[in-house]
Amino acid sequence: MSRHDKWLHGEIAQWRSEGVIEQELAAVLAARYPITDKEWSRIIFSVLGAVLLGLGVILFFAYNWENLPKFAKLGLIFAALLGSHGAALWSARHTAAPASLVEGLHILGVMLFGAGIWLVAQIYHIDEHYPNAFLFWSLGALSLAWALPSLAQGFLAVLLIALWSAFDVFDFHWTNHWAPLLIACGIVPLAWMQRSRLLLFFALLALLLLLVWGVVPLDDDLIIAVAMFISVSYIFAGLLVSETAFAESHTIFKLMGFTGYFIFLYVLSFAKASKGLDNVNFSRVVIMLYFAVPLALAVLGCFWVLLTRLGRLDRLWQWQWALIIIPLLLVAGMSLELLPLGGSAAILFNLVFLAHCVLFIVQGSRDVDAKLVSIACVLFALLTITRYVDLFDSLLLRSLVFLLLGAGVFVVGNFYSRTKRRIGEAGV
Amino acid sequence: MRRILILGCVLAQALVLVLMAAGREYIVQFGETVYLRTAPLDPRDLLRGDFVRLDYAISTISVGQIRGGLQDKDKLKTKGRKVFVALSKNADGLASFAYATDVRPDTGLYIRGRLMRHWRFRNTASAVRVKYGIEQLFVEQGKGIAIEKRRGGRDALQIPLEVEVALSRSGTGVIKGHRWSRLGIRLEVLRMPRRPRNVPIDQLEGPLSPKLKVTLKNVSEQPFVLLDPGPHCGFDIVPVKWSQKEYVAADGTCRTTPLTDRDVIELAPQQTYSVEIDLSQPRWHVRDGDAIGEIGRLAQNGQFRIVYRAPEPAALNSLSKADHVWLGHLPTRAFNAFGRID
Repeated sequence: MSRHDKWLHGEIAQWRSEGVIEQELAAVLAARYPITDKEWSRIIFSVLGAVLLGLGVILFFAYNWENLPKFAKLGLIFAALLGSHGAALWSARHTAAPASLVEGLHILGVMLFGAGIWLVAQIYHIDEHYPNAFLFWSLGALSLAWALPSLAQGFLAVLLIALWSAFDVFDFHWTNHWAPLLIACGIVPLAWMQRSRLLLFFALLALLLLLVWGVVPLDDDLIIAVAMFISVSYIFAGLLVSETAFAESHTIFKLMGFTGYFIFLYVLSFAKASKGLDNVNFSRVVIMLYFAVPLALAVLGCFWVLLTRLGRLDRLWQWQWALIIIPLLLVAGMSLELLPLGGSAAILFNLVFLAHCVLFIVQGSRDVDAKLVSIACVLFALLTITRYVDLFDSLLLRSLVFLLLGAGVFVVGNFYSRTKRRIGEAGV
Repeated sequence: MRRILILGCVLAQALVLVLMAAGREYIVQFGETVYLRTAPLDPRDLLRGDFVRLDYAISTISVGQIRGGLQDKDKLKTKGRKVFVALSKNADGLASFAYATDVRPDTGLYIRGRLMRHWRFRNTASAVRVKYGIEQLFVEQGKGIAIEKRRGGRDALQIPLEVEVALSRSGTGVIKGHRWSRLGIRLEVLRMPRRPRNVPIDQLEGPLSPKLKVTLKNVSEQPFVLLDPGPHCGFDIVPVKWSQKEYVAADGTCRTTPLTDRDVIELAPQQTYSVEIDLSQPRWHVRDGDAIGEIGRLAQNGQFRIVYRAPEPAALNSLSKADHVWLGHLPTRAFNAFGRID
């Protein structure tokens, strides 16, 4: 059950015992917010156990015991693979086995599938492009993630796809174009259909990472642009999904989006990083595609929000939307050499970063959201301290910066407290 | 319906494993088996985990040995391009390089590989590296060290590992096993050339090339028969495959040296045969175009090997032990004109 449901059921019991509400009303409230026990803890333990068992099997075969003939090894792995999945299917159909056991057995089966791939490669001394083993392994997990359906298989598939891409990029210096597509078309829809925010989080994180490190072998000057465009796409997607069947996914999109956006906006606040934006070499079609497609998604998201949502967003969110467009246009324009601003663009990036912080402080204070205010203050302090180190040699100026920073945080805290008190009094 | 889907996914996993194993097992059972000798141990070979990295004599191909469309230099630079290497097999089952081409041969023995980029040949057009998918030999944990020790290090006796490979009709190779060469070889430097600095080479006198000692050892449990007629005509100096210049042995004495029973060397198990080779002597001079000289004068940037090579079978008819003579060849480690062993 969720944290809030748990609190509510506790409160209902308390009210009932204190005589605040009658038994009938307590029953109605409890039924309105039922306890849905997804037995997550048992599933996690089963899955973890299955993964560790599977790794143990892989290591057992990795020892490559000479006394065990190859057909015996193959027979063992086939029997284990089919036995594990078979036991899961039989348990699901004929017994009242808990979901955690069935899930764990299928995970074990997929781990044994992976063990089988490495075992066959070992027996026949196969020296092919080894990252492909992760591709087949991930497809095994992904197919079951959809067939069962299973979030645990989905998580395993995300991990294996990420490993497939990582080994291609870092071991072979080769961009894996298919891995991000597999995440986007295979995992994100699954997370959406299963309404799993956790799987969506990992899928979006993996997608961002795969695209960012995927451009390293092509042109590492493209990293910031791609990361910025994808992050902005996530932010706009977050604004758009709030009125869909999976509205609660908006927090994940916004979390991923703003995290990436602020990280790279912070990087661009340094003149050296801003200056490097126009170093991208667009001589190859694949580089142009890696630049254009994320940019197109970001621009599409921007216009979609403009046409369908902007009027319905509150003023602060409208300002946020407007601010986000500025770095988007700057990064695109500078990369395409349409805006030859060089290192001076860093001033604009700094101002945008600052403006975001102020807006979040105002928004958080208005909504009595302590977390938002705190994060905004931390970002504000980070920017201030960084510029303090960059710009000021004079101790006098440095002291002034800290005085202003301290005063600013004091004012924000005061403003937040007064707003919270005012809202509380209005409620009473 | 869902159960059928799940069952289908499970069977697909099993099928993937079956296809991986069955394809290779078919080649192991029905493919033609050859032995491929691994190249002299290069210190850059790594033992990663529990497998041995293998580098074959056919892994490096000099550009002069290429036929067909691959002679186009642009095609040679294309990483991943398919290559077929034709092989010739001797009585021992050991296959050696015949030629390389980009078109599958209609007849004969061949193995399929792909062109690789190698740090050594980045800036040179003299040789290419080919990968055949048989460059890893998985062994039981701990056994890899024993293999590496037996193969030998830079200054030690080197015993080539000969890998048993099954070849399919399409040229795919599958490792079946391995054996050890019956002959080991060791290279030692007896004299490093002394070369004063800042003195032009044409003003230097005296030998400028190293003096080497090559030792052959019978590491098998059967007697071994070698031939070394005349002034060590059983040995040749050859440039490495990636050499940018086409050095050729200049001495023609050995072409006319007759073979007699006195040239036969019988090595009992663990017995050795050593020769001293002074590369400054005319017997070991090389030719570069019209110029002839010792490698210390003519080929300072070159790398070479000393190769023990048996004569052609047709030349052995006069010998009483012709049937017992080992007909293979065995190269040493690469060395340069300064006496530095690779």
